[in-house]
Amino acid sequence: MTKKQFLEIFNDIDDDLIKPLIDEPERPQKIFFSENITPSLKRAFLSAAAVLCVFTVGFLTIVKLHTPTTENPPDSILDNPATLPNIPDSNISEILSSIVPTTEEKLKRAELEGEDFEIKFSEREDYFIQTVSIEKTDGTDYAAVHLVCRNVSEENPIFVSVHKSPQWERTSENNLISSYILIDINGKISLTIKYTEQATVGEKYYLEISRKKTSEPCVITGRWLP
Amino acid sequence: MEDCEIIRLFFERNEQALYEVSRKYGAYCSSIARNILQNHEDAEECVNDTYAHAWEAIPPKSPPVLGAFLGRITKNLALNRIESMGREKRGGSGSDMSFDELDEFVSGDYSVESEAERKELLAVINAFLRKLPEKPRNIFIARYWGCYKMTELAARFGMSVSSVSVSLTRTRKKLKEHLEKRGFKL
Repeated sequence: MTKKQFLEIFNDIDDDLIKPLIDEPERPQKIFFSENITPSLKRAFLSAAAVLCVFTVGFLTIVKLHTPTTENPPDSILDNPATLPNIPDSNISEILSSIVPTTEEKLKRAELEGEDFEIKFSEREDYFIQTVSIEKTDGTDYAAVHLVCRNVSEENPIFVSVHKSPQWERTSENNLISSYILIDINGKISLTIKYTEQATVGEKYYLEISRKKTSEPCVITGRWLP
Repeated sequence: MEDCEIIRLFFERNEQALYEVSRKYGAYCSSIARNILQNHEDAEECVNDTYAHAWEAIPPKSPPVLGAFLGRITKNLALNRIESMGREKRGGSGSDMSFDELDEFVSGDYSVESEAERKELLAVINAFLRKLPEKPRNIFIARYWGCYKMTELAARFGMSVSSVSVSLTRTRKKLKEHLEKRGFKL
């Protein structure tokens, strides 16, 4: 038998055996590789590209994690301890424990106040809030906010404003409920917030604290108590 | 469009059938023709001739696998064209498509003369192919039916050229043993 005869006979094999050849989609045009490059070289190139991608993504993730933005403020001062204000090392753990409530403390506070709230600290600021509490003043339309801050004085005040939505979601000044310029010689600040027409019981509000009116505030969220 | 609908258009002598065939199987037929002829213009002519032959053949024929039917026409036309041009298959002696590797597979001493013997041999080859694992079977068919080059096979099946070559060698050896056990001399 000759090659030609074998190929002619082979040409008549059953249709169903040929079907995989027909069904297979047309291969995409080669863009990156010519046919002269061996598969092992292709594999090596693709492996190197994959490793490079992983390192790039990892690097960008690390950079992003260490760069707080207005759209994505750090959830806790613990997110970026390297940028903490100047506090003696010995006091840091004590202060942090008072600032960042444990789950148990949060639960206790929620029980006491009937409502949980979250605190977001702006580590960019040079003031330092040590404690925050919000309580309803019985029989009145007022809620009291008590702040214990560091580095606040007449020459160095902080600005506090209360909003219906956080700064980065604010669409208009209508969200502003009230604003205050606060000073306290002893570093203890008490703020009384009056219920207003805009504030509904159970509605969430945002207490924003900043060193300057234009700087990124520290945000404390809570709800109007019944 | 489904094959049965295309065949129905052929039977109705509706020229839309040629458009649908071209849309569905044009790339596949072009690929076969290019593999054999190694020339884009010749391949395109060959594919157009395929459509004309299909138009003549259907009806009365009603091929069960339209793709295989068209592919076979394309392949035969391409091989005839090669022969009429006085060249060996696909690019002359020594090229990839001269199937040099078959030199050891066939002796050239025997010939299948009768149609009965040819059919019997074909049935044995079909049975052998069905028993093969899918990948080596498809590589073997793509090489000797689709006339794919070794480099094309390597890309198509995600293997190196040497792995394709090894797979083909093993399948040829098995086929030879299979045929010789059943009294066929190659």
